[in-house]
Order: sequence, then structure tokens, then C-alpha cells
Amino acid sequence: MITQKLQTGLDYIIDWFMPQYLRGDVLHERRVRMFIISHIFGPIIAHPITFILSYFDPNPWPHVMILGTSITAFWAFLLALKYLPVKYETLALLSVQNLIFVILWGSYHYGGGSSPFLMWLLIVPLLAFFYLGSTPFTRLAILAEIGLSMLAFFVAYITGGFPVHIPLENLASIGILSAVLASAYVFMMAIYYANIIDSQSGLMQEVARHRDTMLALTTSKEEAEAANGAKSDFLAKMSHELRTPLNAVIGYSEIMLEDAEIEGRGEQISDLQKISAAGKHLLSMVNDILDISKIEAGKMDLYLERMSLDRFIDEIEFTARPMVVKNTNAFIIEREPNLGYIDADATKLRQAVLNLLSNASKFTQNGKVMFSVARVVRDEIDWIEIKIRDTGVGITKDQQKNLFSNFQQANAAITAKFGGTGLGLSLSQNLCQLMKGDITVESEIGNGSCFTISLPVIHVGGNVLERISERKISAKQELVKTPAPIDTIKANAESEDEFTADELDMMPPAPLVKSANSDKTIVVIDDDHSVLELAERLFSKEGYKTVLIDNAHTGLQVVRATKPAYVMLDIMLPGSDGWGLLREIHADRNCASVKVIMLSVLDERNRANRDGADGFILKPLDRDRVVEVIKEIDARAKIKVQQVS
Amino acid sequence: MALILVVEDNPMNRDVLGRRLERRGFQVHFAEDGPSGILASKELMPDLILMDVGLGEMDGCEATRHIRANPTTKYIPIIALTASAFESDREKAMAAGCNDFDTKPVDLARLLGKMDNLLTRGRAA
Repeated sequence: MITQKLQTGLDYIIDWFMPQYLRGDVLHERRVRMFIISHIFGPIIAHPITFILSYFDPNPWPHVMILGTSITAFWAFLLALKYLPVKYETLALLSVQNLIFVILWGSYHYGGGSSPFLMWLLIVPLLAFFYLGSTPFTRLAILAEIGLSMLAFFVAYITGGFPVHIPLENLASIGILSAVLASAYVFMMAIYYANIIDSQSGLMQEVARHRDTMLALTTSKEEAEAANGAKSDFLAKMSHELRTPLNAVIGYSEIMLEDAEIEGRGEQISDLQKISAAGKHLLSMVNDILDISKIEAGKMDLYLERMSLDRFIDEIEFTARPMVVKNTNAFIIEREPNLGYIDADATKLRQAVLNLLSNASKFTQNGKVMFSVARVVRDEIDWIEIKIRDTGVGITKDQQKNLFSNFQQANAAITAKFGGTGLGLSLSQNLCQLMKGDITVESEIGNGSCFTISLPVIHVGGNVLERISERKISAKQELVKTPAPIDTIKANAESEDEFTADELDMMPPAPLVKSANSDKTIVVIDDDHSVLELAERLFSKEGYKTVLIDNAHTGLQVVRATKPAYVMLDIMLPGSDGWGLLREIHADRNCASVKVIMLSVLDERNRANRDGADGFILKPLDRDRVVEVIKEIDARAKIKVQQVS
Repeated sequence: MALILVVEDNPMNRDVLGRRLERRGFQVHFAEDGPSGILASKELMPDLILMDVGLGEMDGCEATRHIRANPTTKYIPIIALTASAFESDREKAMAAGCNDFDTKPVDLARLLGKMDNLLTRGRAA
């Protein structure tokens, strides 16, 4: 109880003296604690001797006074530690020197070489290394302090001998007291040291435990990755294994169907049609299941492109019309003027839209299927809303709840009557969510249904940012794995710092940063995503790090931030022309080393030359031509360097 | 009459695809694996090759690269066919030098469209 209170009190005092800049560092804190404790108790233990000496010594002035002051000075060290801007190490060395002085001063005046106080010297190295730890510097400094002080002691002895204030034989009782106090002092330190060792072994155990946990985590992470890999391998195999026999079923039934039609075997025709239809149905189920598994395994890749909505609607109309009019439905298409473009994965969007249209035409007879596309603004973002409305049977509120779950159809009877996998809606919704959009439904029994696909026009938002940073991390990891030159990593880190979230938002979601064998970066600025894709394939094959940008504004920022070796710049950019951007890059002194290659569908070689571009490439991009132009630029740069040197 | 080389290791797939193409007036030759496909492409100089991606030892991409590396067979149009579910396979096939890509089981109408495209392009050039 009492010891506990003492301990808390002591801790409080130690804490009070502990300077701010030493907190938090475990090793340092422990040393400073030792320093504070010994400086609090040292004078308390030593002062009784001072008092006894001043009592027994007939002429104590001034040497006992000096001794007392020096001992009291240890307390001043504590205040200096807290309040003076002196380094702890310096203070500790000064304190050790003061301790040596106190011991030798006492010994010199009381007993000289045979003084009972000399034994205190033993605690000097002990304390000193407690305070400072053992480094080559501290070893040398402490040895020097002790050695030089002893030298001074010896010189004092041979030049004038030791003064005799009290005869040696009368010092015996003080000597015994001194020995007891010295032992008490070392006793205290030894206990403290033992405690430290104990706590350290606790710490080591903790470290070992952490290491075990980490090992377990790494193992399970590897296992999870392996399992995921196994899952996609399984998917690939499954896909192959299921499709091959289906190929035979569909193929042979169609061959036989053709034969039966030629030979006019009517009764066989309808049977063969059923086999063929069943085969195709099974195939569509296999495809849907594989797609859903792929989405769940995170293996569904998005291939975003800027697609014209008008052309998309035309395609859908062409593909879906036969399916819609089959049940004598009218197919009504409504489109806003100036729909423009959307960044989406065309295949997946088509799949989702056709699925909804197929449902609408399946569940509607002698009615209307309406397909409308409009641009709306929601949460300050442009969205495209694709509505598929029908005048069919409708869906109850209850049925709507589970509509987007796997293998859920409005009811089992529907499956029997209309067929379908029960996966289409779930898959379509998943696909739209993958493109940062969604599908919602409104419906009333008897009044038809309306399914709405909403997709962001430009693929932006927090999620894109996440994707980009994920890619960046993976690119970085690759860089770290392969022993890349340090400046490459640095360049990468710097460029990351300079992009704000807004700027990242504006970048296309195409793979932005790819690691490469080479430290040369090419920034390709073109609003045509197919050109970007082509360029990326081309340059990554050549080993360059490729950054793809689809607008002038971001392009300039990225060029300024990354100072790439080459910029490939399209002349026709929306909102700004390539020539303006070229001027901007030339005007920036930091970008003097950046080589700019202009890119155009028109032959503007002369203007490119006149405006100071380093190269010109006529579209379409041709690998050989690109390599040739870069070679030329490099050769010219080399000649320039030689001329300068 | 266009000469089509079908490189496919599964006998049933070969048979189905071959018969259906023959019915539509194509002259069809077969190869069972990558090496014999490469050989046949040199000897027969077909107008178009239908290349299964998932062949045995040497896969369709590898075989395509060989065909593209030979100056005499370099310009023969190649359509890759695969039963794989992964779009990355499409990229792999295109990167290897295939002109087009389709999935198996074959949707014959779609495949014929793609073949027609490549064959008329070849004639124009």
C-alpha cells in the first residue's frame, strides 16, 4: 500500500522532470528515468556524510562547504534538464564529471589515497553507462573523465601531498557509514536494473508474440491469395469444360436441323429446335453464372471507352427489335437530342440493356416496350438514365424486394412459363454497379414495370480515385520488388504528392501508371481512348512507363508534375488545341528537357516543325514510325549534349 | 471458294465446325495442334485460319506468333476461338497477332460475319 503510493509519487516526480523532447522514445526515457532517480536520491544519501564531516572537522571551511555545494548541485542538474535547452547527453556527462569531483575532493581532504570515500568511484562507470548507454563515444568520454580526474588527483598528491584535517584513524566510523551508504546506493541501482531486465524480457515476449501474429497473418494472406487464384483457375477450367460439350450439342443439333429442313422431316424439326434452344439456354446460364462468379471473385475487368450514345441506341434497336416485336409489342424509342458520349464498358452496358429489354418483351404481349435515354444532373454530376418500360404484367412490391438476388424470379410459375436463368437481373445490376451506376425498378401489378439504369457520364468520383490509388500502390510495389533505380521511385512519389484529389478525378480511369524496366516516362495526351490504349500497349512493350491523359488541362498538370522524357500530344483536343499546350510546355522552364511529339490525323508536319515540336506522327499510330521518331529525338539530343560539352 | 484452316484439338469441335463451314461452301482443312497448324499454314496457304486458343502443348497464341513471324504466312487473317470466360484471353490473342476473336460455342452467324469481313478485306488488298 505504502510502497505503491511511494511508487506513484516517484513516478509523478520523474514524469515532472522528464523533458518533452525525450518522451516517447522508450530507450531514452528509461535512461532519463535512471538519471532523474539517482539525482533525486544521490544528494539525500551523500549529505549525511557532509554533515558529519563538518561536525568532526575542527576547520571545515571551505572544503566541506565546496563538497556540500557540489553534492547539492546534482539537484540543480534536474532543474537544468527540465528548463535549460541543453542536450541530455551533455548534462549527463557534466553530472558524471561532478560526481567524480565530489568523490575525489572528499577523498583528497579526508584520507587521500587511503580515504574511505574512494570506493564511491566504483559507482561512477556504473551510473555513467546507465545514463548514456554504451557507445564508442560514451566509453571514450567516460574513460577520459575518470582517467584525467585521477591524474589530477595524483598530481595534487605528488606536488603537495594530502592535507590532514582529521587523522586517518578517526575516520574509521565515517568510513563504515560511507561503505554502508555506498552499498545502499548500489543496492538501489541493482534493484532498478533487475526490474528493467524483467520488463525487457516481457517486452521481448511481446515482440515475439507480435512476430508470430504477423507470420500467421502473412501466411493466411498468402493462403487467401492462393485460394483466389485457385478459384479463377477453376472458373477458367469450368468455363472450358462446360462449353466444349455444349458446342457439340448446339452444333450437331443445328446440323441435323438443317438436314431435316432440307429433307422436309417436319416432326423432327420441332424436336431439334427444342434441343438447340435448350443448348443455347444452358449456354446462357453457364455464361451468366461465370459472369457472376467473376464479379464475386473480383476478376471482372472493365474496359471503359468513350462511346456515342446515339450509335449505341441504334445498335440496341437493331439487335432488340426482332425480340420485342415477337409478342406483337410496339417498340418505342425515345431519345433526347445531343446525348453525346458516355464513358462505359460497351459490352457490359449492352448486356444489361438487352437483358432488361428481353425481360420486358417476354412479360408483355400486345403491348408496348419503351426504351428511352436521357441526360440528367444529380448531385452535381451528369448521369445518363436509360429507362426500359413495358405495359406487361408488372411486379408486386413483395416480389420487387428479391428481384435483384441470384436465382430469384418473381415466382416459380414464371420460370416454367417464360424460362430464363433467374440470374439476368442480378448480373445486370452487378455490371452497372461495376460501372459506378445502378439499376432500379418501379412497378405495379397490371400497370407494367419500369427499369432504370443510371450511369455517370464521366467515370469519376471517389471510387475512381480508389482505383487509381490502388493501381499506384501496385505499380509502386512492383517498383520496389524489382530493384528499380531510386530516382524512379522518388519521381513516382513526388508526382503523387502533387496531384490533388480533384486532378485525379479528372484523369481517365484507364491504367494510369505502369511500372517499367526503364526510367523513361511517356505522357500520352489524346481524347481518343482507343489511341490511348494502343499507345499504352505499344510503349509498355517498348519498356516505357506510360501515363495516359484524355484532356489538355490535366495533361499540362501531369507534364509539369512528372517532367516526362516524352510527351505525345494530339492536336485536336476538346476545349483546347494541342498547339496551345505545346506553347505552355515550352514556356515552362522546368519542362525544358521534355520532348514533345505532335500527333494528328492531318499532315501538319510543317507547323509542328515551325512551332518547335520535337517530332510529328501522322495517325493512325504505327509502331515502327513511333520508335523511329523517338530514336531521332534521342539522337538529336545526344548531338546537342556533345556540342555543349 | 475460300480455303479455311481450322486448328482445333477437340475432334468433336473440328467435326461440327468443319461440316457447318463446308455446307456454306468453304473448303476446310484441319490441323490438330499448334505445330501441324503452322506447317499447314505454310503448305496450304489458306485464305483464313480459325485458331483455337486453348490447344495442348503449344497454344493458339504461340502458333499465331509463329505464323506471323514467317514472311509467307504473315498476312493470312486469323480468328482466335476460345472457350475461356476471361476477357484477358481476348487481349492475349489480339496481342499475339490475331485479327479477330470469337467465343466457343460458336455462334455461326456471328462467326461467318467476322470471316466475311476478313476475307473481303483480304481480296480488296
